[in-house]
Amino acid sequence: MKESKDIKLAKALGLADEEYVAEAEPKRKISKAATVIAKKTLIAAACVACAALLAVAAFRMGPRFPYGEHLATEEESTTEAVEILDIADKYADSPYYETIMALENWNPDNAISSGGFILDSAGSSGESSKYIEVTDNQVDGVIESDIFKRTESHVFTVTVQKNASVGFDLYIYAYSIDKENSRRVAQYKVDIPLEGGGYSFELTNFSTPQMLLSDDGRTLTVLVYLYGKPTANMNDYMKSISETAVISFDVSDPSNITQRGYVKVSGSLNTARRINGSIILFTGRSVWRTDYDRPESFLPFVDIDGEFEFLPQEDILIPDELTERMYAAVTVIDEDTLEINGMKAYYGYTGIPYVTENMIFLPYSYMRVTEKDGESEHKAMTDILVLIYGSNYLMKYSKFTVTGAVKDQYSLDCHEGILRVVTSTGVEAGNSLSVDVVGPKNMVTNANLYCISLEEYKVVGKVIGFAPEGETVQSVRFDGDMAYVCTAEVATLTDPVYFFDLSDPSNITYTDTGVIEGYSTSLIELEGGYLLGIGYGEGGMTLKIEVYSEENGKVVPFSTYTREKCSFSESYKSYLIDRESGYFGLCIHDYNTGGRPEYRYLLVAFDGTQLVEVQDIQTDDNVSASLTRAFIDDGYIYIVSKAFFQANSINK
Amino acid sequence: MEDRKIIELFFERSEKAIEESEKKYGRYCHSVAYSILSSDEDAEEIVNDTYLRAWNAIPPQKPSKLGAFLAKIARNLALDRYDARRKERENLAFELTLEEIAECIPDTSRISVSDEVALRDAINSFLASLDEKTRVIFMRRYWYMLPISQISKLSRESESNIKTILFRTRKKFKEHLRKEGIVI
Repeated sequence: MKESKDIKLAKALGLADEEYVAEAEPKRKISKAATVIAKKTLIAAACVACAALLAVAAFRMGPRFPYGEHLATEEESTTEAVEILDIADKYADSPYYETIMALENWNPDNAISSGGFILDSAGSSGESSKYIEVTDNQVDGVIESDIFKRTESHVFTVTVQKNASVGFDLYIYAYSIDKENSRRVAQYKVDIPLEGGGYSFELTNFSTPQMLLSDDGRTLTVLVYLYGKPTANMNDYMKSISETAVISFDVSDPSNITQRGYVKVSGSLNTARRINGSIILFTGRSVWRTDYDRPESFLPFVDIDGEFEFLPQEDILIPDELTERMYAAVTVIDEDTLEINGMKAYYGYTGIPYVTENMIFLPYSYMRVTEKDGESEHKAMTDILVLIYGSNYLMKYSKFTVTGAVKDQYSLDCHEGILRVVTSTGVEAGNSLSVDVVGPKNMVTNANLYCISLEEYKVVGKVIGFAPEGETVQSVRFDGDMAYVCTAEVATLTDPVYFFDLSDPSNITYTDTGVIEGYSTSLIELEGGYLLGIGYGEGGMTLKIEVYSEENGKVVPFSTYTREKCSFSESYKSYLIDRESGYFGLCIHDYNTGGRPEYRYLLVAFDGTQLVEVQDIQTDDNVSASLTRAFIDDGYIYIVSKAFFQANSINK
Repeated sequence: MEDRKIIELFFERSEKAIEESEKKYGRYCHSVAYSILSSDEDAEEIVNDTYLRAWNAIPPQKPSKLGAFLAKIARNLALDRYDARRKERENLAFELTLEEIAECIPDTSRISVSDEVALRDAINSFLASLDEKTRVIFMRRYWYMLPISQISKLSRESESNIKTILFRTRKKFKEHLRKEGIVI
């Protein structure tokens, strides 16, 4: 009998190491810390008793031994200090000493979840004679990588597929855009560079590739994650590494794709941007298994034909307090030649990048711990590292710190020299923290908005704690001098949407909708002063698409569409946003079938008066909602996903 | 008896290995199976099957933590049994747990050996990144499949806190898998 998907998913967690299974065994009713304290107390008590029994002859016995509790503490702290000293000694002369010591002294208790990364961006209406934009980019002209791209006449997708043996292959598909006559014109198997530096690399089932297409529609760049194992011992997964391959193709004739060249960079693929002939590549690497004698286990590098060129220490930035053993690498690559024109790495900066035409903003959220009235107080903070870049340079510009944690790239926006940032805050005494927590009474969870002058290097306006207590930021959208923020108490599934007037940062005003059922995970500005929200309705398994209008400086619900018993992706890139036609779409996993749930593509329209469902199309069950895309061309909706392509005439 | 000695009995092919495993880990394995199957009878059968599987696995395997090793076998067998009898005997509480974890973990329907290695690597690096309290809560919910109420009592945290810790950690898990190149 075929195994159910969710049972397989449950079994996947069975891959956890046995030490974690044992650690969580339910019979352990008290925490390890408490157990240690209890043991220390018992030891101390026993020592006190012994000392009391020996008290009569104590003056003849020489020096007293310290209480067991103190002895245990001294042993533990001495041992810890000796271990650190050993590493400091061993690598004292290493050019990467700073990085090594930061990794050894990291403090995970102050780590903070920066929220999910969304491979999406806001609207871009940019068109070229050949290339047609399908991604709703956050910044006009800064093109975001995605799983498909198109020209006027063709669509390109890229996907990993299982091969006849035990591995995977990478394929590029090209389809003609020709209404009911649309067809596949090419299936190209990519030649992946799989060996180098003593490692054998392979694609995995989770290697979701992305792509970028040049303005003239001739050069396709594919980005894909590769998993590397030591060639000498392929079963030693503890020594695995990861790389991202950047591979270039000539697609001027879509039916005759040719491969041009490649470059490989360390780390898993995060995202990429294309601008002015350059590719800005963002990769990331977890360095939880470090072997300082194997630099590829903890240092960023470029793989040039199997030779690892490690990034110099001066190009590696370590924050004052490292809470994540991960680095983000930013690499500037020439789109045409694949020459690397700049690379920097930032430990701990694992947040989602916000990229403009000449600046990169890397957020790093962490916990700041202070003592207040004898108690530890944790406060979420975010450092925003600002880089400036060009076709042949990449350098640090500045760093700003704000209170709270940033949810995603849409929480940051640069407008007329002012950086606007929206954060979620939370303070919880005595415990570690995440800004998504709605916790006990002594914790204050709220939201802040900051306006930072990039020229004066200071905060020029702010709104502190604008949300109801206990709510965190769910979605943000900036539109010129305006900002829309949806906050919610996720546990209760309710939200208000805030409208900010940022035209004068020193005098920010805002209004809100009041409490609404459900909450939006994405907000999109529309023509005519409308705002579109996509998110959850009442009950959690309900899709809610809602249009808001602005009336007398307030944001009010205007029209709502809901679909119950379905799930969908929160990934912004998976949404069809066609402002011109008023069509909006997304793929849902529909549980209304009464039997096995189905993947369906939902198309809705807003004509200025109401939101209506236009079409409900069954799609391929072999893909997920987050990896399904669609676009509209001349009265047809084209649905694209991995090796799936479907054209449907739009219902009138 | 120490684990080391029980394992030696396995290697010696002495049936006392099963007897000692039962004494030391019988209730443990039973509770792991019961949390999935909600049936003492089924759980008992699973535990017996677990010993058979362990007998065939040791040697050559030499687990460092015998209890966890046996519990893993029991868990997988219980999941298989649950899947097979799902229509007849649905465990609603368990179904809810499955739904929660489904948010985070990618589909493994076409997983190959190398993919399992990558996924194991990613799962364990994530668990390593958590503080102990959060990790224990996470494992008790999604490995041991315990109800929130029981986790709350064991951890001495309110149920509300447990829910928000789990919600937060699931999101973090999802993000971690994405950063490791595993896209949901």
